[in-house]
Amino acid sequence: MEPGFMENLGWIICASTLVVLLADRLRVPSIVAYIVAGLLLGPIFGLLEVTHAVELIGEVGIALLLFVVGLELSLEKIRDVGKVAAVAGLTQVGLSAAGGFGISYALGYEPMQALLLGIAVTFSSTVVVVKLVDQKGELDALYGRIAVGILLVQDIVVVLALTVLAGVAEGGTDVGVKALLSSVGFALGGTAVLMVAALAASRWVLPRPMAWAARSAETLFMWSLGWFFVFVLVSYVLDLSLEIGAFLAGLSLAQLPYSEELKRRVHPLMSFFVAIFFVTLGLQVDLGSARQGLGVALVLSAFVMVGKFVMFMVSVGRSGYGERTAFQTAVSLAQISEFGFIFASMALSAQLIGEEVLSIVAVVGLTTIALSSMLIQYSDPLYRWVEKKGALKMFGASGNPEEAKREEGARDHVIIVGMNPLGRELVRYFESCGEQVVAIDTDVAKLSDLPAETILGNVEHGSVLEEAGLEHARAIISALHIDDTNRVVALKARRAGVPVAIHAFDGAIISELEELGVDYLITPRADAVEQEWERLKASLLENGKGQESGND
Amino acid sequence: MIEVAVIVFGAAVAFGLGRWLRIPAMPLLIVAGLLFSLTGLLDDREVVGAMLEMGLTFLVFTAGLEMAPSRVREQVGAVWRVGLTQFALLGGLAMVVLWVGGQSVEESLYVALAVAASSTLVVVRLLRQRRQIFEPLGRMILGVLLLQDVLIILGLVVVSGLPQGPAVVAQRVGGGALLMGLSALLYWQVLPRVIDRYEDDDEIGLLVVVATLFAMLGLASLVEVPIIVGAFAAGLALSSFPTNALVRGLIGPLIDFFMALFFVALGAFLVVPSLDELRIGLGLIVLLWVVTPVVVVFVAERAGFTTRGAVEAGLLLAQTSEFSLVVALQGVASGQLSEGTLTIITLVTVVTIGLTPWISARRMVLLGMRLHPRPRAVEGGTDLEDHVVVIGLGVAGSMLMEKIKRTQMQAVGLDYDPAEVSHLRERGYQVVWGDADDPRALEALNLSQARAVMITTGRLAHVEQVAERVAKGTPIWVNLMDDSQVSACEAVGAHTVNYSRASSRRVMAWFESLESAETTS
Repeated sequence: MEPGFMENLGWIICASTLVVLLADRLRVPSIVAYIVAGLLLGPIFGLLEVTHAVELIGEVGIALLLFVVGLELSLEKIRDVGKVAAVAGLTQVGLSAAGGFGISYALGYEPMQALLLGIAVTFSSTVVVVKLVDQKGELDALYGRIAVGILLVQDIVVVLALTVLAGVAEGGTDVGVKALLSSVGFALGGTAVLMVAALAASRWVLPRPMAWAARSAETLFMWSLGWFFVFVLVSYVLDLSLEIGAFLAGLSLAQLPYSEELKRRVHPLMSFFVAIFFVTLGLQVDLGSARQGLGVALVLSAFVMVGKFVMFMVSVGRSGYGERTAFQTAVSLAQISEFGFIFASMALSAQLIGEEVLSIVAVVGLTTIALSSMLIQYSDPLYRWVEKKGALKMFGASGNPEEAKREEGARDHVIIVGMNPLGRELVRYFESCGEQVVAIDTDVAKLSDLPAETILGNVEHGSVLEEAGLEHARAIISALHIDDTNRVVALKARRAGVPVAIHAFDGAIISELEELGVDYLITPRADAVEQEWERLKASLLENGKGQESGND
Repeated sequence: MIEVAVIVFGAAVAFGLGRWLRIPAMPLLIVAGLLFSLTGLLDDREVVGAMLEMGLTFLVFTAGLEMAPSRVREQVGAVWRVGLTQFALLGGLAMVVLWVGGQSVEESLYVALAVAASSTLVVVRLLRQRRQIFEPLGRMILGVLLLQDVLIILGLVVVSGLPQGPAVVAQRVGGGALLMGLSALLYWQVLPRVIDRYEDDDEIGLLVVVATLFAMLGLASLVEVPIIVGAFAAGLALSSFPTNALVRGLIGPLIDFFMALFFVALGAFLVVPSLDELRIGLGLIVLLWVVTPVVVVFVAERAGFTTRGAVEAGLLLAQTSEFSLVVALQGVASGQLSEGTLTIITLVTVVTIGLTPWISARRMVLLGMRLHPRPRAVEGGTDLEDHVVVIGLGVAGSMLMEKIKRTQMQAVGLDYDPAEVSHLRERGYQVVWGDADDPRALEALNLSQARAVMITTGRLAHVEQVAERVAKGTPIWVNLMDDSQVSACEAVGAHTVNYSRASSRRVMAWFESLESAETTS
């Protein structure tokens, strides 16, 4: 075992928790807190260095993040933003690279260094954008989908650029154009093949085995992660982008009816891994050399934040989208990507640039990521403020026509948890009485053929009851035979102020349930006796030998 | 990256196979790890080791989190007797056998500790599947498992300090006590509030939980006790309700993920055992399968359980625990145990846990009952005629007894829970103590002369047994949860009552009363 792995991880977790708790008070996004925690642990106090295993967790985290994005987006959701993503994405990539190059060249850097700086400031950070937009619950809002589309277009360009850079770094300057072209072709072809494979699988391969696996929550979870790692591994082996591989794995599962449950289960895993990724970003910063190029870094940061904002405001606004959508998209994408660091460090090891350029990229990264995290978090009030001032008129976007009101969950319904025979009977009976029912269970087979809206998931996971619309429900009923979960249902119902009935399947748990304020205890066995007794008694008396007379 | 992918892939295969073969996934996960490591795909020991450590931590943490002594309240006496006797006798026997066989004292102690306890993970899952977790028997078994988990943690603290002498042992016990004290403080005062506050913020909630875990690990290494003691203490600190449920909601998938990875990674660390080691392993398996049931049956019967219940408990507990792996890894990490012994312990665990569903199956229980020389099957009996028999005296059974009595008919009840039986006897009812699965108990009810039989246990086997014994035309009423067994019951002439259907009308009435209360207000 690696000595110190747990120790390193412990420091990372504990330090970032403290900083995040503090940041939460100050309403600073957690990403910034993670990076600060990393800075504190590494460059400032020198407590830690990034080890292989910790770095690996970070890598898995980024891939998981993109997996979640894929899970979030079904094909229809991305089809309608494909065009704007391609146009806006490619235009911005070209303009940003040219602008970055121009500024650096004008500030006195050699063409090769200026070119590298230009490329490094071109791309926006998928991890940052997705994480923050996801936290706002707006990944499937229109601007969220456009932003993700643009990021994916950028990712494809990143793969190509990395391929070229790797070719140059390996072969020096005398690398053949033919060899370069063939590796670029390979990267593009590989991505296309992967995409076709993902889509074909989602249609013809996955549905049946996944339906079988979905009968057990654990099996579904592990199989999906297995599927995810197949794509990640293939991308890794073929030198394609891990992010795109992970995204495609998620996309192929998003078409299945269990994608919501999967997303809920992958989410905590992703949050944990991604947190470690951001801390390692902070850990790796070299503060000493960062001071040298501070001026240039600030100029480039300003270019990134203002330039990208303007580019997206114009390109998205002019593609027929509303002002608010264009604004939110533009604000979301105004930072540089962690790929900037990767580019710069590859170029450094190929001796194409010096230490100074690397540290400039690092400072631009930290500055723009920190600032844009704040902007993304507060983009709604920011938009209202800017709109009032009329400052966005010049970008020529139309009003805000397309933002249809987002779907609201069920209302005035009854939630029934646990589709054992009792639960299923309750669902049927309530539906037959004309009530609108949402049925929840962890086993997909138990949810089949019910005349109600169904949710696959465990009510202990925070968002399941939220998705079921607990706040707006008229009542919640648990038929479950699991006392812990029943108590959770009771607790959450009480907090939401919704009347609750719980299956009191055992005498010993009744007092606990009563303490939790359960409104009605379901006692099926006793109900059966009460209801059937007269019939039973009649039959008993009839069958007797006649000497007794009943006087119940 | 390849290692993580391979481990996850192995876990996915193992879960699929486990579901298909209907056996616990854990042994399959370990075998998957072993197979993958033989192919050379898991050679990066740094990464595999990291996964192993993470998984180990979460495994022990979960055990702490799931400690809920309140669930076993009524069975405390039986739990102490069965739990301690099994632990001491099995551990002692293993210790003596190994020590006589030439192993060192330390090594024998570790193995003894490893085989002394049974698997909470697997047995609790089986009890849930069989709907027995709330029966007195289920509660007793659960209590035994929880007690043994605690004993192992205590044992580890002691054994880890042994080579350095009694002073170090005392110091470590003190360290462990300190951790538990802190855990209690957090349990009562701090964590419920913190978790409650951040429950809605998934990210911060998750961080707080994981940070608690790692802080406790750090503290454990500071006071020089094995760090898994810290993991256990962290779990305990979060085990109050509703904190534990919120924690499961926040980091459940993280626990599932790392635990699956743990078993695969462990498999990758195994070495191929020598013939001698295999022989020891085989000996331990036989010891577990023979000694555990005998010991548990002996003690459980004396604690008030019927032979049937005692045999079932004995068979359900006849395996080593996931904590055995924890003990073995701790031994290897502290240099007190060889890798070969780790392999033996893992092998024993894989076999005994993998076969638990079969070992504890109904026909094995019946076999055990037949082999019992002096069974405690029944106490009391009746020679009444024209009486009504009620089998199963839970909520419905007790109500039936009362209602039948009010009609001036004679009622005779049957139940295996001694508490329930003596409670009803005190109230003047005629009750036989015995198990409906045991023909001897059914014989004591004079079924052939009964006017009617009411079965509230809902088990088809009981219906069939009763149908064989009653006179032709005697009504048998069965309380069933759904319609799946209706035709089987009707085939032997029984009438069925679907209690789910009875309840839905009453729940609807409650729901409608809410509506009318709303409209009137």
